[in-house]
Amino acid sequence: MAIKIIIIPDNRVIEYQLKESKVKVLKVIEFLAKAEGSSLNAYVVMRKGEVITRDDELFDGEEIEVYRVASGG
Amino acid sequence: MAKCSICGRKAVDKIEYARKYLCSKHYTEFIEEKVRRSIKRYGLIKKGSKILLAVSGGKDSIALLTILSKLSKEIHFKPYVLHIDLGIGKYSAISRKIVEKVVQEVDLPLIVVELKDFLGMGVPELAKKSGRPSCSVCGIIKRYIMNAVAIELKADAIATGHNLDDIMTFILKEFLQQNLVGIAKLVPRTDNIDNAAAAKIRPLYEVFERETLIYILINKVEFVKEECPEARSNTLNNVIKNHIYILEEKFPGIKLSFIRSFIRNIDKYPKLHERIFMKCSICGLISSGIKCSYCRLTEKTHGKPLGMYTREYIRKLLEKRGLL
Repeated sequence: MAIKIIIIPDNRVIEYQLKESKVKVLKVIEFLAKAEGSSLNAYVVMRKGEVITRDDELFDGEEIEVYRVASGG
Repeated sequence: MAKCSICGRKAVDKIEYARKYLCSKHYTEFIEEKVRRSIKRYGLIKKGSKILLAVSGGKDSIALLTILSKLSKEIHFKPYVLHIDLGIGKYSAISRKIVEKVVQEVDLPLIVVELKDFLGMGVPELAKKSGRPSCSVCGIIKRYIMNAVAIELKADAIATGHNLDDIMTFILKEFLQQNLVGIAKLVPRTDNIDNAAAAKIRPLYEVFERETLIYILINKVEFVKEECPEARSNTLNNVIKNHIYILEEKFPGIKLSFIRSFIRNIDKYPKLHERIFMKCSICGLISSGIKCSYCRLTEKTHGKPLGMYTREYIRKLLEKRGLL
């Protein structure tokens, strides 16, 4: 069971393994923030073209786009 | 599913410092109201004024363009859009295309200044020829062109998309380097100096970087998602900004309270007018020495200073567009 994460702007794709059939967005962001030494505020998540909150739930097989807020322009 | 604290519809984000969830409609209104209040609070735009919007195509400048094009109908000012094609390969081509598309949608006059058209080369080549880092060359060129276009156009101010996180990063960076005069420049508005430097305004002064991103995502406005290939990671700016994000997460509201206290205390920093301003002996625009940094840069890359030539090029470009 996994969720596909596309990180923007670098278009890197990673898989987040689920322990249960669903997970809160917060958990996924915490995972990314810990890996990148960043803050939870540094990410915005979109699912099917809609921005979702940290309280929303993600399910097995879903795909999300995670935008890094601070990107070099 | 989190619901909007105002209408109960599906929320797109929680504004931690305001302790409320907002749906896309109320989020949009919240951000636009923040900008409207900043314009009023800091006296940024007057009725009937001519404002040059500097738009690179990134999320902040596209948010600035979208919001100010709406507010221009309310405040009754005249926005003009400036895009500088920096000649950074595919990145610049994508940026220009997106800006042209978004500007067409909001129906504003667009001025595109293309470096290769009058300098014969883009930022990477200029950096190589001058032996300076790309970001430094890019900064010198962008500041010069923005200022020159605003002066020739007789614009009342240049509006940039700097957000609260950018400003706080610059303030902390200048503080770490003890450049107090540099800090004094980081205000929402700087005035025109003797027609050598155009006034500058920062309408997104109190808007978080996260908020500009969410604003354009929920309003489905196109923007440049790619990072500039010339940009370096792990710079002092990036490290400071990362810490600012962590601070806000632990202490919601600290950024807003910092920026408002900063404005209250601005008189404690050495003021701009206390510095001695000079006009470049070549082009007549603002300079910290006998020659401005743009004239010095082009002297290195082209064998002669090109400030006057660039101003003339811009004047002709504006005339051709019927904007003078």
